[in-house]
Amino acid sequence: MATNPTQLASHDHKLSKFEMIKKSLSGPGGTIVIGLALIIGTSAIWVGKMTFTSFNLYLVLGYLAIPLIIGIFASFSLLAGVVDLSIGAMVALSAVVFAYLCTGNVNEWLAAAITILVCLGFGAINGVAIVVFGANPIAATLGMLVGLRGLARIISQMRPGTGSSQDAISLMITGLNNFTEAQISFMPVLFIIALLLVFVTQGIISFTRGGRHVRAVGGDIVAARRAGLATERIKFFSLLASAFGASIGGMLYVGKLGGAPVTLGTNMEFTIYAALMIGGYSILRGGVGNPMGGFLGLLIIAVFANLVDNKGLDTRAADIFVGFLLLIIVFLDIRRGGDAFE
Amino acid sequence: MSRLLSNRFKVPSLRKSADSEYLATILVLLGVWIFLIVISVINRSDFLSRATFGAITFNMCIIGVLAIGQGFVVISGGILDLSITVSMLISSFMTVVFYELGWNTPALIIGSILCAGAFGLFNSILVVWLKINPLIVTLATGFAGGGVLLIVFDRKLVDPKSWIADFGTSYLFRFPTAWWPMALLTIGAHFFFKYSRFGRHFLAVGGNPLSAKAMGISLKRMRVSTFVGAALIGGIAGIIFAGFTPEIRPNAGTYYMLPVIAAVVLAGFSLAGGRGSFLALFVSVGFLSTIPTALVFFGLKSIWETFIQGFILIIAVSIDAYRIVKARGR
Repeated sequence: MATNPTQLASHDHKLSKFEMIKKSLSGPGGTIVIGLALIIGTSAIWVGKMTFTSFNLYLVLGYLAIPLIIGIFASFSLLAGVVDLSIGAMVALSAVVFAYLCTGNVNEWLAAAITILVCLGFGAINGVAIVVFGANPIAATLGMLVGLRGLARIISQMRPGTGSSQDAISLMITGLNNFTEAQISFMPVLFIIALLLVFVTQGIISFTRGGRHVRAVGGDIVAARRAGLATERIKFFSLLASAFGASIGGMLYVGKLGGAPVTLGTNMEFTIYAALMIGGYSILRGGVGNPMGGFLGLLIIAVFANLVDNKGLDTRAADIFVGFLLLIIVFLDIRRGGDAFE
Repeated sequence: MSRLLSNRFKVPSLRKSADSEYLATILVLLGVWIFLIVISVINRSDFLSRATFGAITFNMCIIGVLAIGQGFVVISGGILDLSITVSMLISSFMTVVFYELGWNTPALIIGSILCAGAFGLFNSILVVWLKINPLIVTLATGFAGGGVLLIVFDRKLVDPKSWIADFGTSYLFRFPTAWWPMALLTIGAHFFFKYSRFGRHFLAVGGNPLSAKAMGISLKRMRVSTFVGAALIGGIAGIIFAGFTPEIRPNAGTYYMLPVIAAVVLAGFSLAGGRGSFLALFVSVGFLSTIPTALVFFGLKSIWETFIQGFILIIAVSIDAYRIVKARGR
């Protein structure tokens, strides 16, 4: 971020306590704290004591775990300045391919490996279109989104279900299901793993050379290229990372849900990017944001979804909330010095 | 002296060179379209029939009108309007609501198009005064708008005996009646952006906003006109959509989003703004509308359609980007 004169001048005089609090609340951290406090407060008044039971906490964290894993990998592509809108469809494809292979008597581990390779293949197509040809990332991955949704449906129909589960391949893998449902006191194991992943990613981005290169490419690609970084390779691998995360997420959902519905991950890209943007990432410029913020942003959405669930509201209300939240967040980002449109 | 000056300042006519470029795009698209038709006919000789002609032209109606709205946004530098299907659905829902209220035809048409326009105004306020990137604005309002429509209307049945359903299913001069508004709009858009002063302003704003501003064009006014205009055109598509579908559902829009963007990109509209031809758009809409019917004749189920359209879009945007990179000489 560019240093403006007021920031330089701010070293000269000491800020009062009130000013310091005001300043810290105007950043992404402030947005998160205020947002969380508002939603939990509303929930406490509206839903009552149930908000704070350990079971409710387990529900929130369980809802959060898999999107968090997908989001952390997708955050690499945001950081490198490319948006991958196809992650939601990639989750569905991964689930359907994995379930298709497993129901076809392929060993689970082999099936998982093949699924990851398939998803990486489509991630590579994204990479070729965006990096080699220089296509607009949003338009290209929107095409990939629709294409992969179609492909997931095609594969799903090769294993037609019966009755109400016609649009899903049902499959129960006991080991995987136990793994996704396991918990240590009120913490789902999957959530603990996701949280570890957040810390590791935070470390990579903050302290390693590779992480800094990704940020450099997203921040100013021309400067990064002149500094001798392989900008195209970094962008390409960041797209592969987001495809990899989506493939892992899809397989975990198969374990958790006991099947692969075709509609899995619909609008998930939207929720995840809204969460990441609450946490300080930007889908229009790379190089900003950190995984901890992304985690807290996803927590806000999970708490809100929990509130909607507990009150038995229309689940579409959550969509509307996320849509408007995204606009407010982007507006705040512009106020903080993000790129304004004209 | 004057002759000397005119020689010195002689520059190649820009409009002419752009026209020949558009002509090349149109010819290539026509070639691909004819190729698709020819291989379909070789595969199954009954492809050339009234039924397929009807299927293709019906397909063209809505995609064509929406593509004009999308092309309007793209050519004026608004990047993309990802909520154009929501403006279409608002208009279709309002058409049914107004019909049930017993409004007469002109009031109904104007009323439902204006409702879509109001949605466009909301988009443009977010873009112009909050200065949020239009791609994010329309992504969010499209997403939230779908939710609002589902909560407010859930679904609406169109009375099969109404003039609306009649308009959607009847034929006029061998083409579907709803095909004619699309054709007229295409011609109108072509002349508007080519010859009218106001239309050229949109191209100027799309091509280079800063120099357009220096020329004295109000960017704010142009942006508001762009998004309201696109939503109004989406509203026209909404009335046609109400005529086609017996039951209107809020998730129906997702089916049209991709073909519309693909049509605009294939027609050579630059996503950076400032260039594009509405005649080429007509041809690319025709080509894309033929694909679903051709797929059926090749024995592929209709579920292959989205898969193929998705990859056509990726290829089209790649070619578009590659063309720009090549033109710049990197």
